[in-house]
Amino acid sequence: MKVLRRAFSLLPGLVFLALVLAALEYLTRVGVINRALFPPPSVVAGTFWGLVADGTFVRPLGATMALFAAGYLVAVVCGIVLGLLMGTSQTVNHLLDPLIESIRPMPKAALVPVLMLFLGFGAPMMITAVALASFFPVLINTIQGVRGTDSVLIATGRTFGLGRTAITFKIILPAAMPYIFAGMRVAVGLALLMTILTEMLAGNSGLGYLVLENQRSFRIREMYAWLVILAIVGLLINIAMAKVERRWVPWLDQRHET
Amino acid sequence: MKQTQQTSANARVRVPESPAHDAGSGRAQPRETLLRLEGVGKSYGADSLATEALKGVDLAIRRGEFMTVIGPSGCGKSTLLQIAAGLVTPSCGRVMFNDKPVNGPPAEMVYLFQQYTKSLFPWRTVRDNVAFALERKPLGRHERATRAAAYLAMVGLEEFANHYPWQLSGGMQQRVAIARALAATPRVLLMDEPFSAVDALTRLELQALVLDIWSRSEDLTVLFVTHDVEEAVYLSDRIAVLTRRPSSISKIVEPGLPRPRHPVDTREDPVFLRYRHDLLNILLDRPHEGP
Repeated sequence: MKVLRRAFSLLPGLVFLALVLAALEYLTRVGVINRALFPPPSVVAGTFWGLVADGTFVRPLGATMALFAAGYLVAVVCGIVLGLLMGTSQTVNHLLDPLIESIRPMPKAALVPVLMLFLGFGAPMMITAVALASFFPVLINTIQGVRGTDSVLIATGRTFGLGRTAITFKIILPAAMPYIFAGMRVAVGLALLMTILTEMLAGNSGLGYLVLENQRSFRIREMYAWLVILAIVGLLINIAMAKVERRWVPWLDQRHET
Repeated sequence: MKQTQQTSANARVRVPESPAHDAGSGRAQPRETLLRLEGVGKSYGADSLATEALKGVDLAIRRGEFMTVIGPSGCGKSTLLQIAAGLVTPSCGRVMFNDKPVNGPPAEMVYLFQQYTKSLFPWRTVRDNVAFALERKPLGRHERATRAAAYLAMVGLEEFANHYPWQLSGGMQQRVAIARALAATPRVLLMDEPFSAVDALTRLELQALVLDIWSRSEDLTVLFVTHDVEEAVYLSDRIAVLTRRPSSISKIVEPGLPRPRHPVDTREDPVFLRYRHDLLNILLDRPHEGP
């Protein structure tokens, strides 16, 4: 019943999407849109299916996901650890805040050339770039969540005899989890962006590399097919994040309602 | 003789059937001081903007007694309780617990917050909230769960062990908080207007529950803070009256109502009515007229 209602609410959007695709199909076929630059969706679908059916997509997708996951994981771990330190300790905060605030506003893509100077063109540079791009939202949100922890919760920990460390891990960290997750969601988008960008700039495999490579060789259909795969990947990551969030912070929905 | 009053999940508190204690006395008789506030003062801010919340508060709480502090709102009752709990450092004076100065929350005292919605952990189930109090004890996971269940049963919530706090009503949430506090097996329970946020009927039920639990544990001392005179007279052995800011203790009364107390009958007892009358007059700053 619930599934049915949900499917029903998705229906108008899906119908509209189908209409847009149909319109594009028509416009490309009658020649309003240049087929050489934008092949009809049905043709792209055929190419896409070719990539999927013979398993061609597996290796490049694997490379992209490995890079994304490695960079994102580094960003999340560093962001949470540093955020806890900066949120709970004035000293650490005063020490690091100016440095953080001077790097944070910079578009991280601009730092890729610098990273190339020091780390070359290999995986270490790419992972660092992805981590750097997605680190700040996690950090900032963790700090905010830590500072926003209700004083009654902390006093509760104290009256039950918890020390500073125990309060940090048993009370502050879980209490900050909704904020941390919000930061992690923003970070996913940034990490994926930087993953594709570094693959275009320095990669020799992966989805970003293939999109650019196919465009340069004028294999336009292939380029669009890889873009479709990329879109699906992005969608799946977002769905997975939402699922994980609901599992880890089940009280969030409730709070919003009340 | 121990009372064996049980409370069910839907919170109908049965009237105690047998007197658990000698009429007129809270417990088996005069006991030594367990918790003592000596010349406690607290001011906030500095210089000309400083507000003095408490000034020269002396209070001795005896082992095993149920003591209540009442006072007009904003008089620093909660501050006083937090100082007693070691959660707030006094500006002057000191707190002695078991003849040792308090410099932080002692393991044997637990503070029950007025804001139960903020004090319970939303990421833990009801059972795990209670188990929180057991986590510093060297217990296995299974033993912890068993004990947590026992404390939940004490407040009549064993069926809700797997719920999350925010899925329960306000009164039930405060019961969870009470179970969690008891699970820490404190010698002193400090209760900060614990029932002020629940509806009138639930308040009566929770009062009866707390009295029941207190009377069943021979050695539990309760320091209770409220602005509700009826609540104070109904629950307490002794009542300390706090003045307006800067607050100090102006009076301590001992109504000596018989126990066990009855949620309805006790409130009609002439002694109850006389103390309610007197204390209300004091709190409202009216010229004293005896009944």
